[in-house]
Amino acid sequence: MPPIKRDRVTAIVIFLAPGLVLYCIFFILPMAQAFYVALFRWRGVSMDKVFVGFENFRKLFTGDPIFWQCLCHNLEFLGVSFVVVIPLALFFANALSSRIRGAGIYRGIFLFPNVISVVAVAALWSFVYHPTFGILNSLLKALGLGHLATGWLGEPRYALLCVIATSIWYSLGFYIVLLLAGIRSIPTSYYEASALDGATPWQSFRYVTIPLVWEILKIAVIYLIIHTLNIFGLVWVMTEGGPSYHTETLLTYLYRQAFVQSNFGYATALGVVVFVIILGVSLVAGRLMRREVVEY
Amino acid sequence: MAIAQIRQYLLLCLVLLFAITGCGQKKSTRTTNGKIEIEVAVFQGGYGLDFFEKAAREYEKLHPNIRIRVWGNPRIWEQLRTRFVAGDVPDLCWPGWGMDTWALVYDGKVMEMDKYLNQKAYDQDIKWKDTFLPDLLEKGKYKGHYYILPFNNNVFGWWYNVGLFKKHGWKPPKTYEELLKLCEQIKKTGIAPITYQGKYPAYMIRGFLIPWAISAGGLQAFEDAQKLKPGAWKSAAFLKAARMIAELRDKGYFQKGAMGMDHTGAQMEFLLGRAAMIPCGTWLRSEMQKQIPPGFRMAYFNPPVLANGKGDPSITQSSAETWIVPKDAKHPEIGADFFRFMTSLKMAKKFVQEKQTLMSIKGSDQTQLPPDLILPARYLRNAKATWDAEFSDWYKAMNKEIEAAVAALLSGEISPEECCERMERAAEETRNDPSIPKH
Amino acid sequence: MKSQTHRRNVWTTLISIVLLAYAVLVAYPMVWLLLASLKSSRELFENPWGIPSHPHLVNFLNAWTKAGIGRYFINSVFVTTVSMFFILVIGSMAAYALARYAFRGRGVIQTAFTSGMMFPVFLGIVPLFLLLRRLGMWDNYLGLITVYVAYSLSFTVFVLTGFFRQLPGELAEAGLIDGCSEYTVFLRIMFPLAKPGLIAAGIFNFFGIWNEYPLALVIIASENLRTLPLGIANLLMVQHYETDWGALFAGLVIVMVPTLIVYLVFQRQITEGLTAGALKA
Repeated sequence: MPPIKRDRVTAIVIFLAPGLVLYCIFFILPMAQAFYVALFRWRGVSMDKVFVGFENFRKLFTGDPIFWQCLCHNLEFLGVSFVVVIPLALFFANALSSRIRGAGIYRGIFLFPNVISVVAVAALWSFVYHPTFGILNSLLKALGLGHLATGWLGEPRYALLCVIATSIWYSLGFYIVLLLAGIRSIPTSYYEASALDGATPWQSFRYVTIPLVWEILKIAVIYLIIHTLNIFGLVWVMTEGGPSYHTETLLTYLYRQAFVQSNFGYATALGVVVFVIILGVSLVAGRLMRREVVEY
Repeated sequence: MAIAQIRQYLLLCLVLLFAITGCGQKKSTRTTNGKIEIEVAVFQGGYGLDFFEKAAREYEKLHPNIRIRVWGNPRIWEQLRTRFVAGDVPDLCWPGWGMDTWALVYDGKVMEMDKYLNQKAYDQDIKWKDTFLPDLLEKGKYKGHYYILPFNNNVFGWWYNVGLFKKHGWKPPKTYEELLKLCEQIKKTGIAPITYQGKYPAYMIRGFLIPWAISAGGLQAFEDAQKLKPGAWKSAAFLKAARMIAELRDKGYFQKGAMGMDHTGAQMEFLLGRAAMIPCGTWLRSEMQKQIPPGFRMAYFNPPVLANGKGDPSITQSSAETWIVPKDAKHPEIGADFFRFMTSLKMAKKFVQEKQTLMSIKGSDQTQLPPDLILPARYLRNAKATWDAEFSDWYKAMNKEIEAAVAALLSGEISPEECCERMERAAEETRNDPSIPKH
Repeated sequence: MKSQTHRRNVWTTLISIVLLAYAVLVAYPMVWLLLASLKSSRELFENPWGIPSHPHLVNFLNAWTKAGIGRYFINSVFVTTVSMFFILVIGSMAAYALARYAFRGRGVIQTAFTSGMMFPVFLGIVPLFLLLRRLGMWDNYLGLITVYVAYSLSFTVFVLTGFFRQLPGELAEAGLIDGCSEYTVFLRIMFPLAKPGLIAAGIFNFFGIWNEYPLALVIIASENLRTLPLGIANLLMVQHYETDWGALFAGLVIVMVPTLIVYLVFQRQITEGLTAGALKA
């Protein structure tokens, strides 16, 4: 017995060590140092820092209305994305897992936006929404709805929704592929059995597919939460948080504070808060989605 | 058996590691062979990099033991920032609008230029210091020493489509009242009277808000605002300016969708004749060089002022692009010397001609001025006073808030009163913040 | 019987329509991009919607000569494939340990990995920069690849743990009883079974690194070491300032074409991998 146990422990160490060591030195360590900076007032252009304790956090929660605006925008991002992406991704993944004609081609097309650089996507969609030669306005005019044409990304009411739409276009393929991989892991014997039992497609979807991809679904949801609360590149290139803060998100605000307004300490404090928020929301989501792991 | 496999895998890892480290040999770009090499980092904007590269080659001919490496890109501050923190900095740089240059000054990262300025000018018999236009040079002073140096000098105002105006018999308006009448006429032809670069409210602040505040309340109204005097940002002058903007907005004289346009987008609208007037600086032609339709002519004019406004109508906005020599540079004296070379009268005149903008060197406009520059130069020469939105460099947070307020005003979200309230609140916050150095 | 087949056919047709509609929605902006890249900037403003009057191919020449795309492409291929190799190996090992062994501190380590995804990337950039300089890993691929591997571990471990956990435990038990070591069980039995997960993780790591920008921006300074995203970003910004939108779009097309090719080649692998995974199970 003992030799096996030692063998097991060694195995665990060997498996875990390389990843853990690399991760700690090059990821955790700099991040921890960054968090330490949150206790300072620092311009970020030299090494001069002034210790201010929790002053940055106090100012963030009590004296900064923009922080709360950003939070609302991120939550809106999360809400809309969640309602649109998860059901659609499930639908498409399910559709593509069956022997439907051209499934491979569809999968290829759907995933493609996600492999393009975010910068390129943002640039492309800025032109889609362009007031004069953008596709959207041209389309509206062609359909006789020209009066709806406007400067989308410059409109306080529509700007955020436009950015969210682009984000969904960009990322849906990712979730489809993820869920597809999960569905593909389900042995076909299960489907055969349920078909023999007379189940409709909907029933086999609900009682066979969903429970068996629950783990993957949970991953998808948590990834969505993290992605939408962490959204930055797309927003920054499309609107830079404008017009007048209407598309400002937590991270664009953080970036602005750190690199534009030289408030590095304050920005890092915001970073700590963002991290805590994401952690909290993910834990809640994970708990809500907790189920017995169905093994077969 | 398993051990053997692990060994194989480890061996593979080692091999790959060596391969990578091999590629880690950075190809040395600082070849010396007896020469001193300096690095000049330049913001690559509407003026490109070619002038500076050519200047470097000329300088090298005059100083055969020096090599200059000029490089740049449109977001150069992103890379410069971390380098300043690490102390690995270029010998001369134009950090660009995205860098908080004043923060560098406050933290002691910029070289004091006093001793270099006292040297003789490159091709004149006076001190280098005295070749500059005095107000531009003074702007870069902090606590009595010179840090930030001006290079080219931009004049900012309005531009109109000459061909279009001639065709309809319109004249560029001198007063606000004339402007209103003109816009009504323009609107009838289906062309947008005024467009603006909505994505960058800085244009609207310099083109509408401040000129009109100065017109209503005199230059003092603006200076008070810059000095963060309590109540200055919601003074009667600024309120009047905000109301004027709102009036143009409500009468539909601004181009629909302008809010969503970036600077080149709005400027294209102007070039294509879909909008008659636009606020911009003297970099307009240089920036839109490739897109100007053949036969298109534009002309500069100062923003139309109130007919019986307090402010002098000749007051013009003039701002400079700024360069610095980093304190930790390896060869600061060569960096400074190269800048002294580029600001010589001969090179300054060259820049004026090639890049079609003015320079901060006295007498640099005594040359064959490109047609678009003649009017701005004249306005500048005849101006009783000049101004510049320096607060946008000094107080970044306040500037952002003011930009947001003006943008909200233009999109119809808030009233002029609310706009002024927001600006005043931003000023108050900055005033009461002891950690922000005041000018 | 007949009505059920009929209902099934209606359902299938409906699905096909939706699939087609979404495919058009996805593809159209890119088709537009291709058309736009063939127009001169002025034509773009005047005739945004239609086919270009004649192909303005000089756009592509401008984008290519000014951007040096060839070299950046090779750089990116090298960095991405090497990083990917290490990420999958190291990541799957770590995920395997976390998924199939119970030990003290497992929860903490797992949370540590997962929570890494929640950190804004550029938060740690300045301390990371200083660390790399101190270790001599700045402005070379050793540093870049190491950082990419470290930063990708969060997501990779997160995803792979899920896949490993869903694998049948009996197979591992059977292997051990037969006398295999833990390593053989991993290498010979479990690793291959997690293929769908590995492929999913592999795809997203590949393209995540292929398109990575902020870290590369800070770590790489020498022009000849630039990766493709640094090249595109530079191209976009330069073209934007020169108001040469035609060349800007051409640049985007040039950059997307290799990505597309690599993607299509990979596609076949993906199909086989996913099907194989399904069949094996």
